[in-house]
Amino acid sequence: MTTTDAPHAPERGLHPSEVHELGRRLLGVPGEGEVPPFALTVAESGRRAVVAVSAAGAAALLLPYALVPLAAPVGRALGAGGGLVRGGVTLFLLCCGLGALAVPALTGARARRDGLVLAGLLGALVTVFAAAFSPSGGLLTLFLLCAGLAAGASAAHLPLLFDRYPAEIRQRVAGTYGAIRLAACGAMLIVAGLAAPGGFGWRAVLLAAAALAAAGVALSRRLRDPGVGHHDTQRVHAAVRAGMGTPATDGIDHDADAAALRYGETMRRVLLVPPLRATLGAVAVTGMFGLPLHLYLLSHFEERWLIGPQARAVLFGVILLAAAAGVVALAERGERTFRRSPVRHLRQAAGLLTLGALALAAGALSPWPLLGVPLVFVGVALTASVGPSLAVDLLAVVPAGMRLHASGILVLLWAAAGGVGGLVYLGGLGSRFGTGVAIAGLALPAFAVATAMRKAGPLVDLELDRRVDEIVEIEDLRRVRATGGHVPLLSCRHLDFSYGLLQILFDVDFTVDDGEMVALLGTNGAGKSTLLRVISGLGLPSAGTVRFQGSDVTYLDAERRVPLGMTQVPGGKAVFGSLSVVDNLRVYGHSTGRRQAQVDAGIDATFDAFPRLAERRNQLASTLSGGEQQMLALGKALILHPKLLLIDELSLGLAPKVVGELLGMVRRINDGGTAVVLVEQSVNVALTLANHAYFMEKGQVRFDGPARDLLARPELLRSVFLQGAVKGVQPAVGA
Amino acid sequence: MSAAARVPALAAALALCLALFASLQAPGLAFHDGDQLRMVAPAELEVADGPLILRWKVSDDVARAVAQRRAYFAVFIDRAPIAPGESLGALADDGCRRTPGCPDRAWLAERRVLVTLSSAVRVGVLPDGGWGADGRGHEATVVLMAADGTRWGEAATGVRFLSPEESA
Repeated sequence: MTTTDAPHAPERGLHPSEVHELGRRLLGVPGEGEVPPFALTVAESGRRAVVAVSAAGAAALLLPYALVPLAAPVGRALGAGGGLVRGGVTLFLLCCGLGALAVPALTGARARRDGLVLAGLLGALVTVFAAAFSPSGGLLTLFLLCAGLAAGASAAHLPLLFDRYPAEIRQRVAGTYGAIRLAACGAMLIVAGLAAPGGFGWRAVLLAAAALAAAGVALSRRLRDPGVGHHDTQRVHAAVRAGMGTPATDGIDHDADAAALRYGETMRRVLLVPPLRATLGAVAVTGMFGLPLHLYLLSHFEERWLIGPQARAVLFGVILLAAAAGVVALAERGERTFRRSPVRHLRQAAGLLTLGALALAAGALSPWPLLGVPLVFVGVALTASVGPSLAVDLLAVVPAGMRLHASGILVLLWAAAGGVGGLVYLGGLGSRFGTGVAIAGLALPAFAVATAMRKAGPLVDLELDRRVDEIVEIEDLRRVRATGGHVPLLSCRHLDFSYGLLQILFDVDFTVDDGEMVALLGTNGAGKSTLLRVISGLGLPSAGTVRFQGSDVTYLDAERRVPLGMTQVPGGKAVFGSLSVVDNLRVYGHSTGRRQAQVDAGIDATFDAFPRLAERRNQLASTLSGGEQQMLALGKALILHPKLLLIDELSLGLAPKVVGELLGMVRRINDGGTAVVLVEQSVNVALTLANHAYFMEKGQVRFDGPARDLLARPELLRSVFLQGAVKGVQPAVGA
Repeated sequence: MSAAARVPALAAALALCLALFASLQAPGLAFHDGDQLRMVAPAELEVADGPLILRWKVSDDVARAVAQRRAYFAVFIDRAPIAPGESLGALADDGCRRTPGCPDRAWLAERRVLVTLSSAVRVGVLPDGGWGADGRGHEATVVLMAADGTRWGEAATGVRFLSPEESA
C-alpha cells in the first residue's frame, strides 16, 4: 500500500463536521496545504498507466490529425474535393460522441475500463492502418467513421486515471493526459508537413500514424483497472467506517441487483447532477476549441497569412507541442486552486477560457503573422487547459460508479455537440466573413459559457458535500444492518424536487415502517402528491435519497419499483378508461410479469371484495362511477400484494358511504401486512385510519409524529378545510 | 480480451478486412510520391497576375509514356478530379451522352477540365467563386490519363493560387 492509499483512519465517534472535512480531504479538496510532488506520487502508483492511457487518447485522434493537413493531396489522389476530409472529420466527431455513449453500456457495473482502453487503441490502430490502404474516398470516410466509434472509448480514459492515481494529483494527471494528446497531434501535423518534401505520400503518413498507435497498444497491454473509486470513494467509505467503528468490508456498498441502476437510469441520474447540468454548454464549447478550431486555424494560416501547406502543418504542429507544455504548467496551478476551493477552480477555468478566446480572436484578426502566431499559441494553450479542469470538477462530483457514464456524456458533448457544432459554426462564419472572423467569433460562445461556469462553482462545492453525505448514509445503514438494527421499509432523506425552475419539495424527510398506516396531510399545493410521485419514481428529485428496504431506489424507473413491492394508486386517474374492468386488473398483474394463475386469483379476490366490479367486469373503466373507479384502482393492491401502497386522494369527490367502503378495504389491505401511505386533504378521513401522520406545507414537512399529536397542533391545522374537520375527528391510535 | 473490448475490436477487424479487400481491387496505391508529377508554376498561394500558365514537371517514365501517346494530362480547375480508374466520360451529362464524340476537348474546357499532351497549359478566364471568403482562391489539379481515357493511378499534383484582387 502506498502512502496515499492509507485511509487516514480517524478516531471512533467523529463529529459530523469532522466526517465532512475528512471526506472532502479524501475527495481531493482539503481546503489548504501544498500539492504533493507529482513525479513522486505518480511513480508510487506506476507511471505506465498515465503514459498508456494518454497514448490511447492520442491514438484516438491520430487519423483526423494526420488527414487534416493532407486534405488537398488526399482529395487529388482519390478524385475527391478537399471537402472529403472535412466531411470525414465531421463524421468522425459525430461517431466519437455516439461511441462514447455506448462505452458505459459495454462494461455495465464491472470495472473493465482497461479493456475499453485497449479496444479503443486496437480500433485506432486498425482504422488508421486500413485508411492507409483506402482506394476510394468512400472507404476513407468509412474508416474515419469507424475511427470515430473507436475514439468513443476515450470516455473510459479519465475515469480510469482518476481511480489509478490519488485525488491529490488529479488535475495534473488530467493535464498530462491532455498535454500528451495535444503533443501527439502536434507531432502528427509535423510528420504530415514534412512528408511531402521528404517524398512521402499521405498513405505513408497514415502508416506512420499506425505505427504510433501500435506503440500505444504495446504500452497498454498490461494496464489493469484498479476498481471503481479506488482512490477516493473507497477511502472515504473506509474512513467513515473506521469512524463509526463498523467492521471493514470489501469497499463500496453496492445495492442489491434488483435496485441497481441500469444504463438509462444511470445516464438520467448523472444528468441530474446540478454542476454537470449547469456546465453542459461549457463542455460543448470546449469541444469547439478542439479539432474544429485547429482545422480552421490551419485554413487561416493559408488564407490570411498565405503560408503554404507544408509550412503551416509544421508551424501549427510546433504550436500544439508548445501548447502542450503550457497545459502541463497550468495544471499545477489548477491543482492548487482545486485543493483550496472548487469554486475558485471553476472561476479560474472560466477565466482561462475567456482569455484564451480573446487571444485567439486577436491573433486571428492580426494581419501580421509575427504577432498573430504567438497570440494563437497563447490562445490554444489557454483554451486547451480548460477541458481537463472542467473534467476534474465534473467527474469529482459524480458518484464513482457513474463516472464512466458522466465521461460518456462529456465526450458526446465535446465531440458531437461541440465538435460538429463548431465545424458548422466556423464554416458558416468562415464562408461569409473569412476564417479570421470565424475564429474570432468563437469568443461569443466562450464568453457565454464562462458565465455559466462561474455560477456552477458553488454547485460543485455543494455536490462534494452530498457525495460525503451519501457515503455516511450508506455506512450508517451498513452499521445498522451489521448490529441487527431496524431498517425502515421506506426512508426518504433530504428530498428536493423541482418542476423546471419551480422548487416544490424542500429537504423533505419521510419514513414508513413495515405494516404502518401513514397519513400524509397538507394544504393544497403543499407537495403531498409530488412526494408520492418521487417515492414511486414518477418524478426524480434534484437532491436527496429514497431508500426502500435499505436499497437506494431514488433514480430507479417507476416500473422497476413495482416488482420490489411499491405500488401507487394515483389520485383520480388510476384506471385505464379505454380498457374493461377485467382488462384493467389483468394489466396490473401482467405489469410485474406474474403468472396467469396468480393474476386470476387476484382478480377473483378483487371481485370478492368489490361485488359491484364483478357485475361490471366487461364494462369500460371510463363508464364507471368515481367510487367504482377507486375500487378498481385498489384492486391493484389485491393483485400485486405490495409491501408499500401509496394512495393519493382516495376520497376526493366521493359520497361518504362509498368512502367508508373504500376505507374498509384500505384497512383490510393494511391488516394483511401492506404498509399504506394515504395522501388526503380530508383530515377526517386520514386520521380515522392512520396512527402516524405527516403534515406538509409549502413543500416542507411541518409535523412528523403520532396522528393524535397533530390534533394538538392548531397552528398547523390553521387552514380552513382542516380546521373545519378537526372538530369531529378521532384518530385511529387510541381511538 | 474482455467483452467490452470485443465489440470495437471486431468492428475494427471488419474494417481492416474491408480495406484489404478493397485495396486488392485497386492496385497502384501510392505510398511514395515518386516525382511522377510535380507542379512548377504558379507557386503555392502565388497571386497569378496576368495570363495564367500552369506548368509541371514529370518523371522520365511519364514523359516517355506521353511521348508514346500512351498517356496525357487532364487539368481540373476549381473542381475535384476524377477518381483513379475513372473515365472523363463520367463527367458527361445526358445531353453530352446523346452527342457523338462528346465529351470532347471543347466540352471539357467549358467545364474547367483541360486536356493536353504538354506539361504546361494556359488558363484563360478563371471561374468566379473560388475558395476563401473573398473567392480569390483557386485550385488546379493535374492528373495523368491513360490512352483509353481513364485516370492512370493516383499520380496527381496541384496548386492553390490567388487571382488578383480586381478580378475577384
